[in-house]
Amino acid sequence: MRFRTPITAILLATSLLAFAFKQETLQEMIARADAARLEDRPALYVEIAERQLKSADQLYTAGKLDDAQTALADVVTYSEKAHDTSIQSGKRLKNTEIDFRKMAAKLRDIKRNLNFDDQAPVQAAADRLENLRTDLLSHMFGKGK
Amino acid sequence: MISTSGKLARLMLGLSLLSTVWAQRRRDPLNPVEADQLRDAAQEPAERLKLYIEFARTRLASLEQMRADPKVTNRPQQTHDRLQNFLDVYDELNDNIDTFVGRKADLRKPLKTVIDADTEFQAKLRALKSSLDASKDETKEYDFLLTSVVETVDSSLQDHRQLLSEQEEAAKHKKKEKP
Repeated sequence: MRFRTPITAILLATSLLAFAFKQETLQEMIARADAARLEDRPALYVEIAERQLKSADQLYTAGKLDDAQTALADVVTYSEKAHDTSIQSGKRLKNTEIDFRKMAAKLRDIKRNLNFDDQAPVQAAADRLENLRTDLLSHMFGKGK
Repeated sequence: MISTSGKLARLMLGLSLLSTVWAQRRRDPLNPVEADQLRDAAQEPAERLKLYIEFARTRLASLEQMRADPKVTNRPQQTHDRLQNFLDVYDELNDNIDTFVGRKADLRKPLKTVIDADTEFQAKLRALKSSLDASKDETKEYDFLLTSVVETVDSSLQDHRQLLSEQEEAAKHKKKEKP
């Protein structure tokens, strides 16, 4: 019984630390990607985009539309960075194209579970990823060079 | 970084709302009836995965039908579009499996159906690929896509088998733990 308060405090502190660490990890990941060698950046940016896509999905499910749209915007931003660095470095073009394809599939699935009024930004993000994907394919086959 | 750039990005997304009409016109591999069927089965892994298998099967059948029709014009483009359609649906099937795994759903039964379908798709796609090897000129337009589709189905089949065996193992342990 005597230990209840300290244990609660420790648990609370641990939870807060875990939360802070989680937040920091995303920021760290972004910093790491920005500072990485050009050829390593596509994979790191895709990882960030995928992580934010997962967040967007969870936030939409929880009904937090504003936060979900912020996460969705990150998906597009970091996918664009992955696209640009992939083309600049000429590395990981095929893998990035496959990753975009899968993320676009996920976005379409998220969209269909939303009210009609909330679908447009998700569809726009899916379309943007499809466009990036098409552009990567063009580069892979020499048309975009 | 995200919070500051987030504002700009949200503005960008806000603008995209204005282009609703444009967005609605863009391609969705499923028709409205299929999308409604999926929505009705949102909480039922077995039912939802079964629907995706059916949709993917329909896409492959449509590809086979088109290729068997001698009256078809622009065959390479049509083959490309139908393959892409199949792959889009198949990607969504995989994405749904991941989602249900994340929710710790028991997928043992539906996975068996998925694996059977994978095997069927794999055989059909391989048959298509080998029938096309003879006509290299025609395949230029969709050769890369066809290879991607075959590779995706091959690797997914392995993943699905692995997942089934993990779920069966986990179920065995659960049984043992029960008094």
